[in-house]
Amino acid sequence: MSLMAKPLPSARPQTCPEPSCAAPLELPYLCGTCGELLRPPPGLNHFERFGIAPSMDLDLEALEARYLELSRKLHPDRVLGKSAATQARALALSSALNEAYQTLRDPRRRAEHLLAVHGGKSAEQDRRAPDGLLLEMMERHEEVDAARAAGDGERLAAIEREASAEEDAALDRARSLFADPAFPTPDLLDAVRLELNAANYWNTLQALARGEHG
Amino acid sequence: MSQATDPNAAPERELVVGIDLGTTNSLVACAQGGAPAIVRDGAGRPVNLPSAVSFLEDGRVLVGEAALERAPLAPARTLLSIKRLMGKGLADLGPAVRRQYAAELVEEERQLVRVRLGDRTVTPQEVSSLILRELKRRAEEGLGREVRKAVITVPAYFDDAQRQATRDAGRMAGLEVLRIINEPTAASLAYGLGGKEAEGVIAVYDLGGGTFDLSLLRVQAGTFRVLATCGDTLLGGDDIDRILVDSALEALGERGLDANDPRLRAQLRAAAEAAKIRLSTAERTTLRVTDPTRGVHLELDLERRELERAMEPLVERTLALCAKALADAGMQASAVDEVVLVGGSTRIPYVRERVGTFFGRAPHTELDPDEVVALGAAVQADILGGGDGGELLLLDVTPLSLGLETYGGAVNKLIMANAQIPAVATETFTTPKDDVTAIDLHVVQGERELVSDCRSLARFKLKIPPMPAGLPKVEVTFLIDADGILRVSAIEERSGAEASIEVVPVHGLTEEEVDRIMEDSYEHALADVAAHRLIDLRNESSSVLRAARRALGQAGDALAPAQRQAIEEAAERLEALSAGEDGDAIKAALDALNQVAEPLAQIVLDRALAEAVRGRRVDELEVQG
Repeated sequence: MSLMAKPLPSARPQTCPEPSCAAPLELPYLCGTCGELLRPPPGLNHFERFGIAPSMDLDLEALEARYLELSRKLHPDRVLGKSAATQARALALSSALNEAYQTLRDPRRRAEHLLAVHGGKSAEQDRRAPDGLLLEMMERHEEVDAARAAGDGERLAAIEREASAEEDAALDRARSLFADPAFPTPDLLDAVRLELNAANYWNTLQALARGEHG
Repeated sequence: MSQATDPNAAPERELVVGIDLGTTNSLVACAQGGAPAIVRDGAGRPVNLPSAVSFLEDGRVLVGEAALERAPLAPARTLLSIKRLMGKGLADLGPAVRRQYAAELVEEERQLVRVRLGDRTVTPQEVSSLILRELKRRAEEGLGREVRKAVITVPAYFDDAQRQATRDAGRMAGLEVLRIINEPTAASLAYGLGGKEAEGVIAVYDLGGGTFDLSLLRVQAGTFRVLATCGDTLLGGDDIDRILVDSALEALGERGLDANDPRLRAQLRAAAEAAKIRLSTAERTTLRVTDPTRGVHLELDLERRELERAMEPLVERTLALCAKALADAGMQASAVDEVVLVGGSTRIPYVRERVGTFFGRAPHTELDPDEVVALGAAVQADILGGGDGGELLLLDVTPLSLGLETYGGAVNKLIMANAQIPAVATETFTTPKDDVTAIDLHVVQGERELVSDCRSLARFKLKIPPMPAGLPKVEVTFLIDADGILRVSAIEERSGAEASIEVVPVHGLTEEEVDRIMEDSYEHALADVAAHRLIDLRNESSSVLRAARRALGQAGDALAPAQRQAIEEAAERLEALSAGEDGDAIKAALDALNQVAEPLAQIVLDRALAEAVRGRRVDELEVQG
């Protein structure tokens, strides 16, 4: 799917507030015509930050191109010598853009954010795991410990690969749930939460196998 | 989008210089109106200053070459490698680093290292600011205009405290630091690899005296985006010297000389470094240390191949870090399109060869690896000053993760290493007990899971109204600005009360301290500069007066009476004024005398030349006779 501009809710300004410009706004925090940086509406989500519809399926190349294009307009280097207020706004907008980009380009974080946008529970609010997963995790963690104790690098790499494949599989199941025509019913939101919890467990296992934790 | 029509745009381009504030040498470059170049001083020499400061007993301060020359005479009052102390506490340094400093290092408030100089102490920031001030002065003399704004480079791995310390040093030196940028990022800019159409991946391999780092950048549509950076702060050319010193010491041991004698070690280290440099062009050389007063006479034949064998483990370590950076960025070595070399140690052919083989392409060697960082800083300075490179944009990353201490001494990371900057992250907390009125927040930097293994950046208290446990909603926001410097804010949302936060930097200076030091040093500097100038002018006056009077005695008869009188009057005037305090008046009188005495000087010179020719004939005759 390409990057499509999402229609802006009517409560937000539709045109650039700079009287000399007044061009229609594509993004709620930046005038694409005169470059004026605007105060973003509160609670802007990462998809809105890029002016795209919330979805699991993003064209990452198009996202990157858009990220660079927006960075060129928002980065603090671009407004040196302007008023302190403009500089502060550039700092706030460009840091938020970086956060949005890093979230959206990573499938697991993108899924978490998409769930939050639709009002789903966070991992802290719903810690349930799919049946049998916790037991499997305990076994897998022991396996990592044993492989590490034995200095078996190949085994660790194999566990990391398997865990990565399992994470991808959980994210694929979440993707199908997001694409369900009935989405977002409360049941579907909870089902996505369960898959993302599974993806998080598999992700932690990869870090463990790489030796980044514990 | 176009900025060209902005009515607030400055009508005239402001000069912004790039400064490489290095561990051993510091350079100033400027890119105004074209290719970047190292700035020349008033005498036409490149502004490349040894990063050395010597504090004399009488209160005067020497910076650069003069300080370096003084180092052996006054080691305890001369500071080299001050960069290693920036933003550090004594405990951070470790015994090996502390041993490098002959000066006494102490720690006063906020665990900030200070250098003791008799009855007072100075901070590394102040010492660095003296280096920056001298760079500024020399650049101004050469450029013939004031330098007020600069971009200063720091190693990519510099943490928050070190970046703040660098920025504070700039401020103390009277510079507006427009941006702190990472050295490898700067180096990639120097080669001009980021044309509008350019696309690709650049690897910057930086092997300096004491540190190594590698950065990968993607160039795309005029943006330089850092993908990954990693390094080792205790790996560099000094280690190669140490290998050579150790071989020499082995040889020395057999002759019964004391291997622990510091003077001998210093001589050996210098000889080893020189031999290493010679081996970059020669196949073999002799490491020679002679000290007749102590009966030391050492010669050690070295072949380039021996050096290469000895260096191999070190180079392997750098390549392992290259592999790690590639893995972090999720790419293969073959994806790298350009390799840029930085640091004196990359002059070694073996390093170039191994790096070239690793990446499968010959590294760029067109620019001097010691100048490339300053040149790149100048490119960025020009862009920020509104120059033609305005289409270029640097998107840098933060080298270390940032987090908050949570219960049990664990770290809750808010911003991960290699996150693009500016970066923002917010985390919400609550209280575990009833009626808590203050929450302690401890900000740490590092990759480890426990606070005790990370670096403490700041602690602050957030005061909140008393509420039952779990009810307060404390939102902590980390914001890393484009200089890589962290700002932390916290607010208790439920009470809506404006939270009072005081961030006390660990290993840093408060805003007030920077201001105070700046005022003090500014006053001192003005007095110093004025006093210095007066001394210089008086010295020059007396030597010009002496020369003019001698010349009048020798050749005054050859001048017209009016010329002769003009010279005598100008000399009297200068003599009278040079006893006073008015530097400008002395300077004017000096210039006037120089001007009127010029015909006289010409006559004296002509006669001297004739004498010399005659004299030689006499000599020849005498020899023959």
